[in-house]
Amino acid sequence: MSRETPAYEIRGISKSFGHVEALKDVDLSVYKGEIIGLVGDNGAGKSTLIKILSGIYPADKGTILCDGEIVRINSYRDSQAIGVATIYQDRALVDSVSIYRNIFMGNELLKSSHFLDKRKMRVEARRVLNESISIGIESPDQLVGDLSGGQKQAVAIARAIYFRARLLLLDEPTNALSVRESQQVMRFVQDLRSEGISSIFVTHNLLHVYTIADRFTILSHGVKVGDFRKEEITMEQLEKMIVTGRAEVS
Amino acid sequence: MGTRARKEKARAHSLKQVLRYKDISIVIITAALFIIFSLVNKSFLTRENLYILLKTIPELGIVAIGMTMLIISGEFDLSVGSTFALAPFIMAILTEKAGWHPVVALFVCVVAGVFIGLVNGVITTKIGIPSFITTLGTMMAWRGAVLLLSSGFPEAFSRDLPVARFFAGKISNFPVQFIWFILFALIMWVILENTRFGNWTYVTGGNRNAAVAMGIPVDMVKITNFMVLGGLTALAGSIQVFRMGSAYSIAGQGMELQAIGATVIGGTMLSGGSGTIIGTIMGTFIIFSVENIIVLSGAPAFWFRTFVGVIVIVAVTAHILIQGRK
Repeated sequence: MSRETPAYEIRGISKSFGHVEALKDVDLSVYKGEIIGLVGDNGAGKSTLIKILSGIYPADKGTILCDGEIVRINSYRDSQAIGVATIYQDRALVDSVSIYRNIFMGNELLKSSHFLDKRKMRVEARRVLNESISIGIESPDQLVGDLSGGQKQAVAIARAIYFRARLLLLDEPTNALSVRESQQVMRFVQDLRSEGISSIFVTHNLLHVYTIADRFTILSHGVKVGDFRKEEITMEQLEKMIVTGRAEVS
Repeated sequence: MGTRARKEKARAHSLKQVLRYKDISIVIITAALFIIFSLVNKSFLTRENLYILLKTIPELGIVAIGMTMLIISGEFDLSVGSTFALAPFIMAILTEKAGWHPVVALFVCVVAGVFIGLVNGVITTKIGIPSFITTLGTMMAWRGAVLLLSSGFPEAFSRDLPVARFFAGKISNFPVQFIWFILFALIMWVILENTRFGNWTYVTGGNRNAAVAMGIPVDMVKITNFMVLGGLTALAGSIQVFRMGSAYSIAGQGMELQAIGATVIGGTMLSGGSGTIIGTIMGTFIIFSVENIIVLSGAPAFWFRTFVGVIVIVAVTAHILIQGRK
């Protein structure tokens, strides 16, 4: 398929933990504004791939490209610097502090070398929440611990957007959410597509991923078994591939 | 119409915020206790009695505000009582025996406190031992050191030295150490609420993994808080030496639990991530006024610990009742 250069591309990534080969020579590409459904059964290597992209594990082999240029991701900071943001399962938020302190955690807005610009942080937090899914969030001073699961997810995504993420890595983002909240999060991820923000969506929930993804990359036992655009495949076929670990479109 | 509704909504919201404001419950509890105590005993709210209170509160109070920062960052320190004795003892020996200038000796004392904090912090974060164990060990080690250094005898320190008056003298019958206490509390409050380091302290204690993921140097945050507490403890111990005119090897025994008690009474969660300096100041006031009212009422002083124990539980319960309703 000849299109423009992928926004992010990984080529021939391998990763072993002792004798266990978690990933074997895996390729994956993401175009601008594209939602990839990264699917596979337990132990397929989905989380390992996400962790390599977010800088938690180094890859043993292979290259990562951003806008066609080779980049190195050795730490979370490195991945942040090239616009990759991970929305973790545990959301990487601090329940005991306010929303705005969470959004700017580690990237605080400062008045001088050490002092927080709290007013600006509040204003910016409110703005970014209003622009994204604020789902019932009253004030940036609310404690994150008082928010619902979907609202927390919203804060985590808002944080990523504020810091100009171009690729969201969503690891089971709808896992602990109610049906309504899951829909809100998914709609939001879809809205981001029109702003050119790409996503890699990892989930066990085939219905969710089939609803919003543009393309599917299927992993099985650390090997990529297929890469299909949505119009090439039905949900039943996708499910069968995940179960059998073989790419067969009948 | 629309603006009125909006105004009403804003007012309801701000009222809700005031009620949820994290320090309001402890301030109410402290005020209530003061009113009750002054009704129970006529001597409580007298000038002389308040002077005694304000003179003795800072020693625990300065330790407790440092402890609050450390607990918010997710660790705690049982060795403060031993630091409180050892560091000032070094100062007294350097001044009285070695003839050092008292200001230099005080400086050495504070540096010793900071160093003790550094040791606690490095062992806890780099080796990965829980701070409960690390500081239980250093608590005993430093207490042993000061007993060895003193052979059990106190070391005199002149109360008339300028440095003693500077930290523990009087300004027209007002104890200077209380001003220092308020000053340190103010500085720590500003650091905690308004600086990047303060934010890092909260998030490190609140969710260490999240803080690491966002690139916050969590070990540095914890070690720094251990060091600040060590330095404040050394200074608080010196203030007691300035007040008493001697350094004692048994000074500060049981202080670790009082400092943690004041912090917890003030609403700081032992699990880390939340707490305030104002709460801890109130917690310190509560502990001292309870001790004070027991003495004034002529009740056996042994009751003190019992009451503090009860108050820890009552205060935390009250916090949950006032704040916990959603």
